[in-house]
This record gives sequence, C-alpha cells and structure tokens, in this order.
Amino acid sequence: MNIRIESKRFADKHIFSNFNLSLDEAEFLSISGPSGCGKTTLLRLIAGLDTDANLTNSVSIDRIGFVFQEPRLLPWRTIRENLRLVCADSKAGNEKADLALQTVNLWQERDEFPDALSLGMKRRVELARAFAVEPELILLDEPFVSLDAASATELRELLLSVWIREKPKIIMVSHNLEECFLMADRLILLDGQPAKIKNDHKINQARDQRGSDWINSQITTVKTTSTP
Amino acid sequence: MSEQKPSLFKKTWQRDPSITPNKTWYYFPTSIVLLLIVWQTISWFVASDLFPSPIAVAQTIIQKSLYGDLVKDVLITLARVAAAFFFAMAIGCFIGVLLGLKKRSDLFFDSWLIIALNLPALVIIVLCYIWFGLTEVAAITAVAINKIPLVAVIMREGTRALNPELSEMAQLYKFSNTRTLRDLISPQLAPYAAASARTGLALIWKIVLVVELLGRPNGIGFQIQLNFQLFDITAILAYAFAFLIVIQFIEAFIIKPWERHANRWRAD
Repeated sequence: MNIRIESKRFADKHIFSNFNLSLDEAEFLSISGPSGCGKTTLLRLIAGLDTDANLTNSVSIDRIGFVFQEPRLLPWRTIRENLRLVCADSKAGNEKADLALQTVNLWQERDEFPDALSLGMKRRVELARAFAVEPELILLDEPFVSLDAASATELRELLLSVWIREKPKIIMVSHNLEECFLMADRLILLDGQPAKIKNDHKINQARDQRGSDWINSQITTVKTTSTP
Repeated sequence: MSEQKPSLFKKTWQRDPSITPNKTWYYFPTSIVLLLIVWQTISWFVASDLFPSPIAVAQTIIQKSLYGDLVKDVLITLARVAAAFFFAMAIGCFIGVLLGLKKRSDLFFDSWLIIALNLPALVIIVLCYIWFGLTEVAAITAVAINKIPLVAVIMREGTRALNPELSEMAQLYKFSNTRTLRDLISPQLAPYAAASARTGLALIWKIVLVVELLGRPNGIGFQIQLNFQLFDITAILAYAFAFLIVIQFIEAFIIKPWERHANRWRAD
C-alpha cells in the first residue's frame, strides 16, 4: 500500500508536502514524533475523515477500524449496541459484534452505558469496535495514554493477539518509543514543517525477545541516528 | 479559629445529596394544597362573585361536566391543540434541522426567522381568518404558524450542537442513513425536541383559546367569551382549570416519561 499526499495545509501552516508512505501487507507500523508534526492529521487523512488534501492511495481500503484518542462511543447506546451499529444489521452481524465484545473481555458489561465505564474499558470497547468490522487496516491514535500500567499492558496484549490472528495492517501513533519498540514491526519518526520522515526503522527482533535493555538500547540508537 | 461559612453560590451549585425523589415526593401535592388554601382564604375575605373560591370552581367543573358541554369543549380544544402541536413540531423540526445543517441557508433565512418570531400572534390569527375564512383549517394554521419559528430556533440550536466527533465516527464506520438518523442524530436532538414540546404545549393552548374566542363556535375559548358576556367568572375559571388539569396529565404521563426514557443513559 502506497500513500502519497501532495499537499496538506492548515491556514498558513504546511503540514505535508510530497509526502510518501508505504505499508506492507500485515505490517504493524508505529509513528512517533513531536506534538503538532501531523501524526494525527496523517491518520485522519488515511481514514478519509479529512478530505481537504490531495491524497492518493494505491489500494482502496473498504474496512477501516479507528481507535480514537478520546473514545468516541455513543453515550446513549449500551456498549453492545455500540458494537452492533458498526456491523451488518443481521443475525450474523450481531454475532460478530458480540464475539468482539467477548474478545476484549467485556461480555459482563455488555448492557452498560459508556459513561458508566472507566477510560480503559472505553478504549477496550473502541478496540472491539475496530476488530468487529474485520478491518483491512486499523488506525490507532495514542491508544494507551492516560491508562494505568496494568490496563495499558492488557490492552497491548489484546491488540497484538488480534493482529496475530487476523493480520490487518496497523498504523499506531504514539509518543511512547518504548511502546513502539515493544509492539511494532517498523517505526517512523516524523518531524519538521512540512513533516518529513526522519527515521524509518525496521524492527526485526522477535516480540518475545524484546526486553527492557534491548528496548533502551534501540531507543538510544534511533535518537542518535535520526537525520536532523 | 472560626469556621468558614460556605458561600451562597457554592451551596447552590453543589449537588445536595439529601434531595432525592424518595424524600421530596410530597412537595408537589403540598404546594398545590397550599395554593388552594391561599386562594380559598382570599376569596373568603373578598366575598364576591367576581372572585370565586376554589370550591365553587370545582363544583362548577363537576356540574358542567355532568350536565353541560365542558367535556365536549375540552376535547374539542384538545384536538385543536394536538393538531396544531403536531404540525408545528413537524414543520419546525424540519426547518430547524435544515438551517442547523446548511450554514448558507441559515445566514440567508435568519432574518425571515426573526421576523416570523416577532409577528404578533393576533396579527397572524386575524390574517388567517380573513384569508381562509372562519374555518377549522384557518384556526389550526394560525396556531401552528405562531409556534413553528420557536420550534425551528430551538431545533437549529440543537442541530448546531451535534457532536462532530461522533459524526466522524459514524462516517468512518459507514453508518447507514437509518442508523445515522435513529442512533446518532435523534438522541442528540431529543432534549431539544422535549424542550420545544414543553414550551410548545403551553404556548399553543394559550393561542388556541384566542383563536377559538375570535372565530370558532365551540371549545374553551368560545365558552370563555360566552361567559365573559354573562359575567360568569366561576364558569370562566372552571373551563380554564379543567384544561389545566388535562395539560398536567399530558405532562406527567406523556412528556415526563418520554424525557426520562430519552435521558436514561446519563450517569446521574
């Protein structure tokens, strides 16, 4: 999958100019960089939520899952209804939604309204919703921020287990380099205005051999090798 | 060390946990009874046919229901209120949502709305009667036209306040039109619809009385005009209160339960 953005502006700010991004089948890509460099904008452009740019994509993607930073659930529908709304209006669709809810261990809470849930649980619902559409591509915008360590770990494991099973393409935006090295196949660092790829780093280490020492050494390498 | 007094505002704004439906259920009946006692006492002192007591009014209501046309007139007025309410809500919601969604139309038609809001009810009623004759259609049209701009303004505000983030979510997950309307838009507009329904009911029944007084041969407005000519204050109050009671029932058994249902997802 090749994405090309000719130009994207916000008023006088040039966010992207002749920007290219390619993604392999079933690749788990993470994107990091300073605040305001266009990471979230990039996700929104890819998702088609922002159409005010000349974006071309070599493949057309029909089913996208999006995990928003601030969970976007319908507060007046139970979490089960929230999931059913993204699936086909049929018995099979309902079953798919219920299955996704079981995957994220929220079956007990299925009849709760989102406002009754913690942030971690809401993110789990968002993740379940992304899985429920059987996505070709999942976009995640800072999915693990503001969570306690245990919830974050649980959510990461959930994401990885579904990715291993279903093999969608994943683009995850995160400030946390540790997290990127822990989960992704590839890390891209964005910076500048317009944004450029400062570092495109393949992560080949097997996921179960990514200890904290290895991660720390990788972070140091990436920081020193990034082209200014 | 002196204890610091809580400020008035702080006290007003904070939720008082001791106020629960279980402990305050008797407020409503008690306050109504108190109102009736005050009224009864004043009528005692005034002691005139021009200021009848609540007991006299109640007797008239019962007597006119059993031997007169009160029930029929209340039902006729209620039917007119219902018809005008239905048309005003339907057309007002349609216009309001449209203006809320289409910025250009809103900018262009805003002045029309302000003119419509400020047209005196009486002018609209008289014009409708002159143009369409002293007919049922003219009466209901006149009432509806009075109410439509108010509904439109409230629904426009509601539409403007629609959450854009949830709309993006719905777009991303390809909600069908039915689901967008039923699950995304309607729940957000429901509080605004409830507000316009409640203010609408009050306004509409007041205007219906004027319309009946000016050009209908039946209904409560007609009866009030008749009894005004007879100087029968007790009957005037009887008709008015009979209808007030009906409105209270509509509020308690239709609007409130619906509002509760629409708001059940809120945390408190």
